[in-house]
Amino acid sequence: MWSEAQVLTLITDLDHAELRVWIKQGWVRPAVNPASECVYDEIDVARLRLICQMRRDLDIAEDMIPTLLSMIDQIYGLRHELRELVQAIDAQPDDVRRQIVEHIQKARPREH
Amino acid sequence: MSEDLYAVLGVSKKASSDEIRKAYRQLAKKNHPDLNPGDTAAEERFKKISSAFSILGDDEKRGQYDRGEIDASGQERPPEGMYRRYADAASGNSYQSKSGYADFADLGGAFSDLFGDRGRGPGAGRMPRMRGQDARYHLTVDFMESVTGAKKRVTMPDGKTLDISVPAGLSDGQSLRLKGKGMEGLGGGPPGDALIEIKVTPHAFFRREGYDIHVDVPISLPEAVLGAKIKAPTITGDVTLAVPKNASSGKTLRLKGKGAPRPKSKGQKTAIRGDQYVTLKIILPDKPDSELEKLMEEWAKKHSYDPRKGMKGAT
Repeated sequence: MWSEAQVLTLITDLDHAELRVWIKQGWVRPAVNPASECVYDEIDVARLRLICQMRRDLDIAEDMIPTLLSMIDQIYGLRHELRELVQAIDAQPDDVRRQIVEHIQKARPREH
Repeated sequence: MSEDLYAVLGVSKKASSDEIRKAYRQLAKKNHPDLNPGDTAAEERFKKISSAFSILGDDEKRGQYDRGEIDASGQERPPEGMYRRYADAASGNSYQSKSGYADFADLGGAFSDLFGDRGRGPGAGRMPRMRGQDARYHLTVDFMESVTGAKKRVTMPDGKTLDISVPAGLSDGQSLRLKGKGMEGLGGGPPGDALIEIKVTPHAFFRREGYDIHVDVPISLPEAVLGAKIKAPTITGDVTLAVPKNASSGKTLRLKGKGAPRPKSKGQKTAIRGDQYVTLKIILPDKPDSELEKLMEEWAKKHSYDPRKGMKGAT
C-alpha cells in the first residue's frame, strides 16, 4: 500500500493536481484510511499508470477516458465471471460437461 | 533477429517523426495488452510495436538504426500491461463492472441464479443510467472495539463524511458493505456502496479464535499447588476464577459465555456469546529463593515423578 506522496514519486509523469482530478472523476478509487488520507493498492497504481499511458503515449483524449475505463472494467468483470462459469463447468461430471459443450457447439453457426 | 522496424510500424523509411508517432499510436491503441486481456498475439504485436517505436521515435536512435549501428533487438521498454496483472486476478478486482446482463433476463432462471440481481441493476432500461461506483475504506479498530462494536467516522475523498457503526464481533480482514453509501449514480442511477475493510489491531493479552477469546493467566506456585480463587480478565471486566488444586501450566479453564458476541440471528433477542478460555501459566518468584530450593530438595527425595513420560519413544 502506498500513500499519495509515494504514488507521485512512483509515477513521474503524474502530478498532484491531475491525480486529484482523476480521483474526483472516479477514474481511480483509492481506499481511505482513518486519518482520511488516500491509500493506494497495487491495482490503483497500475490503473494510474494505464491512464497515464493512455493519455500520453497513446494520446487518447481526456473525454474518451471514462468510456474506455468503463469498457475495460466491463471486460475484466466479464472475464472474471466467465472464469467462474468455466471452473463450475469443469467441476461437473464428464457427461454433464459433454452435454454443455455439445449444446454450445449446436448453437454455433457452422464454420465453412 | 532483426526485423525491419519501419515495416513493423507500417511506415516508409522517409516517414517524418510525426508520421511515425501517429502510426505507433494507432497500432498501440489497437494492441495494448491491458485493452486486450488474454490475447497473446496482440501482446506480442504490442511488444514489437513498442520496441520499434523506442528506436524510431527517438531521432538519435533512429539515425543509428538507419546507419546500421544498432539493430532491432535489445530495446527494453518498461513493463507494459501491468494493469492486467491485477485486474485479471482470480479473485476479481475492485474496479470490475458487474453490469451488463439486463438483456439476458429472458434467458431465464440460470442467469439470475448465478449473477443475482445484476441483470436488473445498472444498464437496465434505455436511459443511460449508471450505478455509482463503490468507495473503499480501510478502517482500523482496536481489539476491544472489534469485540464490543464501535462507532467510527471517516471522511471520503470528496469531503463527505460517513458514520460507520462497526458491529460487535467483527474479525480482522472482514468487510462491511454499506448500501448506497458510495459514489453518486449517474443519470438518476442508484449510488454505489461503501466497502469498508476492517483491520483489527491485536490485544496485549486477549486472542480471538472465532467467537472464543483465549488468554494466558499467570498463577503463582502456591496457587498452582494449593488451588486458589484468582481474578481473571475478560473482555467485559474481571471475574473470579477458581484454580483447582494441583493445576499445571497449560491447563485450560473455560468461562462459558464470556467470549465475543455472535451476530444476532432473526428473532433472537440477546446475542449469544462465545466462551473464554483461560490457560494457566505457573510463574516462579522473581528471584531464586533458598527456602524454596530447600523445600523442593526435601520434597523431591520422597516424591519423584516424571512429567516427560509421555514423550518417551517419540523419536
